[in-house]
Amino acid sequence: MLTSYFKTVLLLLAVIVSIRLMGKRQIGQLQPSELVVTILLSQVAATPMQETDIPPLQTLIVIFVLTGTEILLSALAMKSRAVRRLVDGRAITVIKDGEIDQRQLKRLRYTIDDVFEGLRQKDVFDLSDVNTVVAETNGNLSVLLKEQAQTATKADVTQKTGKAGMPQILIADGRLSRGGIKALGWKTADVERILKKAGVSLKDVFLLTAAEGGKPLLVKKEGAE
Amino acid sequence: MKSRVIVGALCLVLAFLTAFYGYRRVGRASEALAAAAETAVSAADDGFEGSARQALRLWDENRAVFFAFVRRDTAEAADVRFEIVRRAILQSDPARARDAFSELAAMFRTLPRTEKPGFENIL
Repeated sequence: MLTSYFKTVLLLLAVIVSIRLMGKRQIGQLQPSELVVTILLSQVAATPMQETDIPPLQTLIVIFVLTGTEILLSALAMKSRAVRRLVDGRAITVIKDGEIDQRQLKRLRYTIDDVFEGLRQKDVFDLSDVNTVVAETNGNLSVLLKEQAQTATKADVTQKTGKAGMPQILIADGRLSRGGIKALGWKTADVERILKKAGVSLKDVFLLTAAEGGKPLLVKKEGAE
Repeated sequence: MKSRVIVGALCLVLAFLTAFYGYRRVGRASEALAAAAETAVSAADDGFEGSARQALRLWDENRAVFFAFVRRDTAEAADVRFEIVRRAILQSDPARARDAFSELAAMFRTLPRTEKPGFENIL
């Protein structure tokens, strides 16, 4: 009994170390080779936990062979496109320019229901909105909508998108903030120019802020002219 | 990336070295134990106890290796038979000890073959 307890702890730690060595990925993002190794690891570790006949060292050897092979395969796949295709397969376009490629669907053994399910998961309910759908190697569907169905971005709704940095305080309660001036890469003369243009003196300013590429914000002290 | 490759290669090397160590230790110990058991079986009455004790000592030295690398039921079966030998010597019953030794000899003669990494065993 005590042996089973320590064996289980040992194997559990070995599996956790193996999974950590293989890297962080969610189940849905696993590549085929990673999925195979994950299933095998759980199976290899689970059997000796229940069956005391299998020596733990044998199980540890299997776990480390699986982990080492997976890491080396993934490293090889990063270096070589051919290995990547062999191990992980390749992404396949199932809808192109709004037209379903039935041949590819058959090849992937995807039904049209599978495609619709994948689209709904991407919040797409109308097939006529779809320009391209790619079946990725991890089984996920990537969807590109037609231009008219795409969500407007900030670039679409603004005429001019200047570079707006973090606003810095230049004057607070009539006193110059040298840190803010320095952060903007300005000089005191630049602040004086703004004050001259606004027609206020330093002691009458409650707050002056400015951001890189943005318009300065000036708030006068109450009662100041 | 490079460090991950090193870790992967280390995993494989570590696993191989452990497996190879187990294979060699179990193989050599099995050969030696089989030979010792056969010697005890064929030993003359006056030389039996000495050869039996030598076989027992050899088992005590290698017991942990068998429990670490060989299936537990096989290691336990060998352990039980050596225990029979130990008791038979204490009770001055060489016939019973010889029976156990002949079973042990057969067991250790077949054991290394199951560990050999030949293609016929892999496939």
